[in-house]
Amino acid sequence: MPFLAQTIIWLLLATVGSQPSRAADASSIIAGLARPLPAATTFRELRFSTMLKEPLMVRGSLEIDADGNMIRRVTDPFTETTKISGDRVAIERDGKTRQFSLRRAPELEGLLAAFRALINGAADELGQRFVVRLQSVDAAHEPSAAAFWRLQLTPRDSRLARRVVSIDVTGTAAEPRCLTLLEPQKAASVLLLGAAASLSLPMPASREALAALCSQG
Amino acid sequence: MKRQPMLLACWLLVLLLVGLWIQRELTIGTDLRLFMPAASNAEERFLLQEIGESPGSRLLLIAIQGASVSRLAQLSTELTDALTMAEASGQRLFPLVANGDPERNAIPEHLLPYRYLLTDAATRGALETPALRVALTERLRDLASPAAGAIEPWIARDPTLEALHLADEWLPAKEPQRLQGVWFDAAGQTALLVAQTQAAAFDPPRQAEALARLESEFAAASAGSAATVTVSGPGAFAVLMQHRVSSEAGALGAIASASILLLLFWAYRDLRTVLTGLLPLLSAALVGLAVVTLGFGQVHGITLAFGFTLLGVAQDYPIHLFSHRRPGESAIATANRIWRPLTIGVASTCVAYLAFLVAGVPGLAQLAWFTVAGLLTAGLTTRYLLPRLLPSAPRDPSAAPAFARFATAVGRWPRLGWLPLPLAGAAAVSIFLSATPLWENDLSTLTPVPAELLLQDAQLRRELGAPDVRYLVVVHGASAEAALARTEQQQPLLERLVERGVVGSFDNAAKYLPSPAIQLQRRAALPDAERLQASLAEATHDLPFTDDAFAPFLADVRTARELAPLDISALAGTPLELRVGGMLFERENNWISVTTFSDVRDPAALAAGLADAGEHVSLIDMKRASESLVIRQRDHILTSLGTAALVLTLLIALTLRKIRRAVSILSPMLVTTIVTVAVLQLAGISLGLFHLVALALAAGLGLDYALFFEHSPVATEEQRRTLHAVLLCATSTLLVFVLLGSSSVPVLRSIGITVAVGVTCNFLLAFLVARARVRT
Repeated sequence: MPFLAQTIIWLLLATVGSQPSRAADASSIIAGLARPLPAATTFRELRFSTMLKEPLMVRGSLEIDADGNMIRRVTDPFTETTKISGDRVAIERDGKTRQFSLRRAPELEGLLAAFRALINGAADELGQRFVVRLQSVDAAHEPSAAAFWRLQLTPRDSRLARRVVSIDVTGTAAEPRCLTLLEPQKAASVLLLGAAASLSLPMPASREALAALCSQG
Repeated sequence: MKRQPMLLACWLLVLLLVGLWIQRELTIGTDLRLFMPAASNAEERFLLQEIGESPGSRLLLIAIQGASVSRLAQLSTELTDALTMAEASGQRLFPLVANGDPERNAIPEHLLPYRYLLTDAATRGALETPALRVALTERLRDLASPAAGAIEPWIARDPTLEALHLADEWLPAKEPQRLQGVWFDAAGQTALLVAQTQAAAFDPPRQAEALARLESEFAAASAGSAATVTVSGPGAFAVLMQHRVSSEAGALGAIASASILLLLFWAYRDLRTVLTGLLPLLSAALVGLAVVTLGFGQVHGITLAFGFTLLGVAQDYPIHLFSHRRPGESAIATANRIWRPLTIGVASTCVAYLAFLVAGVPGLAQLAWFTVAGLLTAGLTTRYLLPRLLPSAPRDPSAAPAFARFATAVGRWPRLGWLPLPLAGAAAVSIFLSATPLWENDLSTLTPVPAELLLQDAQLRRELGAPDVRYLVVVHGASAEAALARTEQQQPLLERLVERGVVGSFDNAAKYLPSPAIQLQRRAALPDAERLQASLAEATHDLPFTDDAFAPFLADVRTARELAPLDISALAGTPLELRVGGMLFERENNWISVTTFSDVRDPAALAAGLADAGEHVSLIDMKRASESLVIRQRDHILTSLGTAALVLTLLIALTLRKIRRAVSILSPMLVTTIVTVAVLQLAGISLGLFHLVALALAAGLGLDYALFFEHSPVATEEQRRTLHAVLLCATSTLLVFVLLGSSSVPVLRSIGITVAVGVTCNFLLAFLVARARVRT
């Protein structure tokens, strides 16, 4: 009997022990990101592709309305509005609208799911779609950046995984800073959010330079 | 006594063996054309070829409702994906599924380079520097859009979006509104899809397989939501009706059989008599089936339905035998005694049904063989086998006190030999004055689909802008190329008709597959690798594309410059095969290219516009063709029935050798036919094929009734037995057909009502007119 009780207590302690505490940290960070809807932020997006010598850059605003629809408005260097409601994506440019199903663009669906979960502060929702890893918060090494964090989201669904390698989100305290979508074959989108959208960009705007910009506390 | 069980065992064994053989050999056909007369002109020939085979008739219209617009749009996409995926994995169920989503890849991967021959990219200058510059600037913006990941591989291969142009061009000219990118009805509450089945419309087993797949995919996609799916179209109807007819006919048949058994048991009070009495009918059905199996190898479902209806007469034969038995008389002696009217009855009914043989319609020939073989079998077994199984010394079933009193009472009724004439006159006048059209000329009444479903189908078709099923233009050619080139020549003429508002839009193979001449012209206009490379370099100047970004594009154009024009054989196994194959196909060494229209507003102007289109081009009015077919089919049947009536009259007159006797036997059934038609007219029912068959059955029954009434000697007891027999025959028949008349399936209902009216009238008239004169 004492042996059994001992074992149970030992097991309980082990479960409550070190490993999940990190997950709890991720949860608290995610919970801290929650915003009441509608929520809006400015963004600057840089698109990297093997077809391109240098990244494409657009600016505008991202909004999630009260019904959970996402609206992405590009204002510079041209005007374009994308509205995603339910399963449908409608892109309007020069008065013409193109519509397609989110199923045609799994990476967009994944990005959207991540974005929604973050804005809802819903760690468990995020956990259902992605393996969530909290990376390198080393307060001892870099005391001034105590509030800086990086979440790496890896898709659980194999269909999504074929189109999305990972989504990296970085931020400080309750402020998300960058959202980087890594696609296979070196394609990537880097979204600079909120205040980060108006930072002056490193020249040339390479992936590495942007990664450094995103990791600054 | 030991011989009886032996005989019974042998009889049953033979039936069992025949039954097993039939089950192994017989296949049931569903091709409606078996019941159509031969075509007499090009229009009818085309109609007959296309019944159940044309793309329009293979189309299932799918409506999803009961959820929010975004959920419905999602379900529409998921269902389309699932069905398309099933197709890709080699199941040939739905070669074409469309929900209005233009992103869907219209061209299969291996045919992609052909896009430069199928669109006018080269001839409109889309591959020259200025146009390329515009397109590439747009593509750059696409790359910065949220759709970038999905379209990047496409941009490299197809920067001018020719595949998308093709997909857009190939969308129906008139289509439902799109909400969230997929088709919806005008009210915006129902998502609409179309799926073309591989199976022909009149192939219920394979249609059922396709429908089951569709429903299971929908169930999987819609799990946990209240959304429902409705599937409409000829194929869905075929499945529904087969299910409904067989389940209702089964249920009604079971009730009818049980009631008849009860009735017979009540009349004869002897289980053995009642059960053995079923053997002639059973034998008739099996022998009839065996003969048709031997002669045709396949029996049409309609033959079976009609055949079993007409065989109903055979159930009367044993009843005559049972009711006419006298106490102490052996069953064999009774059979001998009633053999004369029974023979005349069997022979004349056979003659009448043989008329179907010369109607020139294969399905009716089957029907003739089936019924004649069956009736002969029933007659012969009633005469030679059945009596040997019956108890030797029966009671007289008609001597029960209640029935005897009834027989005496009605026996005193006056004979009304004059009645037929005024009755027939009144009925004829009523038919003449009736506002209801006498004949139903609509071919669709052969497909027994309830009106509300047809209405729903018509509404769905309208919403989906499905092509008009009535008017078509058919172009003939010795080869696919010839037919296609002729069709292409008609395009300007057809476009003018659209401009003038004569038709809403048109669709034909030339829209999808340009003729070889045009394809070659486009191919010649394609720039060579060097020139295209130079144009591209100029167009991408100061744009951030890498030097080799468009290598796949250059490769495709290079490939296209070497391609032979795409022809219909190259489309085999692709979704395009069905789309184009439905409008360009070979029939009897002749290529046919069909142009369909939507929204034909002025048929006369359409006909006039096409008047001088050339001898190989003809406008087909499917409704006119089908009506003329139905009318000719009916003329065939009426002529054969008329011939039968004449032969019958002669036969009866010769057998009886007295005109007066012949008249009193024939007049009840002739007058009944007129009266029944009058009653149907009063009820607002026009006559179709089913009614004619039902009338033929009623006439056969009426003839039997009259023959027996006329034959029975004046002696009271014998007349009482005949009354017992005929009353039992009429009651049991009435029971079956009143039950059928209560069916929800229009075919069963129309047969039921017709025969029920006919039997009642026949019985009354035969009793009042044909009964032997009481000598005073």
